[in-house]
Amino acid sequence: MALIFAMALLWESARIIGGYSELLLPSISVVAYSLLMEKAELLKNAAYSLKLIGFGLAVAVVLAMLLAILCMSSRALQGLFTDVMAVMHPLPGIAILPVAILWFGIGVNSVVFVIVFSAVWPLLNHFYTGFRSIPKNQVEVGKNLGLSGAKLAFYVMLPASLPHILGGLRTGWARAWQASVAAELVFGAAGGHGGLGWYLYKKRFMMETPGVFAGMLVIIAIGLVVEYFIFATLENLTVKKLKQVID
Amino acid sequence: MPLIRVESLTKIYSSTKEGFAGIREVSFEVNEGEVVGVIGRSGCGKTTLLRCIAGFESSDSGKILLDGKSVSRPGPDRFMIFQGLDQLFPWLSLRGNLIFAMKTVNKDANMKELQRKAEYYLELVGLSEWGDCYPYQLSGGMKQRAFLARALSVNPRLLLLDEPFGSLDALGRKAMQDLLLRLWGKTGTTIILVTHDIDECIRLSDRILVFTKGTLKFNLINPLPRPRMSEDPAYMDFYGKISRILEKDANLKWANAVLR
Repeated sequence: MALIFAMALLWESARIIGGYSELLLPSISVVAYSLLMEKAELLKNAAYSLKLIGFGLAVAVVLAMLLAILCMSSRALQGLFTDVMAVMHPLPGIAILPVAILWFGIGVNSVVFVIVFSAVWPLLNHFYTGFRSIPKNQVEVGKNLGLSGAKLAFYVMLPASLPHILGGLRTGWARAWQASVAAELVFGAAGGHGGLGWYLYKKRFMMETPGVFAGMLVIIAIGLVVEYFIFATLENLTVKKLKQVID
Repeated sequence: MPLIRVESLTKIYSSTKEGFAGIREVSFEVNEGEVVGVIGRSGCGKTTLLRCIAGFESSDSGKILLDGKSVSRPGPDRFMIFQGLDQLFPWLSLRGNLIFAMKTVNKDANMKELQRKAEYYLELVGLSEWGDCYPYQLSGGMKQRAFLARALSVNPRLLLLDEPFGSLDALGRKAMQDLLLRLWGKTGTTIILVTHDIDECIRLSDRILVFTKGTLKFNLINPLPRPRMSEDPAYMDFYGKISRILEKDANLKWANAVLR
């Protein structure tokens, strides 16, 4: 709370001291007014963005999990995916957008593809690292009890690598957000609706700077809510409670 | 018929002119209800033998027969307690660890029965009051007892112990040895115990397999009646015998290398 207040103070004082125009740096009250006025549209766009991201992230998580399990089961695949990851991971998701448009056309599919592409590599990296850092004894106890393959992965490897999985979800979530906003900023709305990226695009196009700031504030607010209410709660209930990570 | 028969078991990880790492042509039998100690210097292949029997390592040649049937994969009929204290699943409570093990081995068991059995085994090792605790809340000695409780709860035909009390201090070690003997008296589970501690081996085992450089040198019957007291002259004799075999095996090259 104190941090938000301090940032607001900094914002206002920078605006007053710098003497910036409302077009470059609008005052908080104007941004708040814009937030209030466009509440309905912002909510609609945010919901749409969240839907796309939720879907894309879910696909990416399942895909990354399957790939990570495959990597663990075969040395050849392990080598292959380490190389593929080294090539793909640094590639920004948005760079794949032209290809995505060629393949899937202008629309939701392209945006989802970019989201999946952006999130899957960091997810795979975290999951794979997590699986490899499980104490050998725990995996062998699982095998000793007769578990193998998918059952061993589900009952032992998954919970044992939870700290890494949570880390992966955090990175994947951030990458998915970035990808969805960036994709809409570059080529506009996906399908009939638009997400927050499309909202920012429109507001920038119309030179409605308070609207741009309002859109950014919503993105930040969603990020904070997800971090503090979802990830932190998950962490407190699991890895922190069980001292799997340093508190 | 013996419970387990090991026939010409060979598993070599690497070999040079001077020797090899692993085990070569190892054969022995273990009868139902026996405690067999495996002793030898570090790197003589004790753990390799145990891991082959447990099914974690595939052998290069030879056979392992349990009740006359060849085994090659891990299974709950041969339950192993490893070295190290990180064998409990940290996301489950102590009781949860036992129930998970029993449930995995016997999918049809009902929850009430599993809970009752978990309490029974926890009590057997003196951890009744700690069932709700998570592994990070337990001391090293308590974890060792928990490993034993979990291992016995799945009712294995053969219990494989790989230097199980190596990380404990002398007093803790003695207490765990007594506990193991009590549990063995109660359940009659067949045990193969790997150790480098001659005292531990004599105190616990009915038979002692002495390993040197990857081969089974001696298969000695422990002549001492239980309980075995270190003050007993016969104990000292037996201790001396094993100690001399192991001293002969001392790797002089290694010792010279250190002196140089």
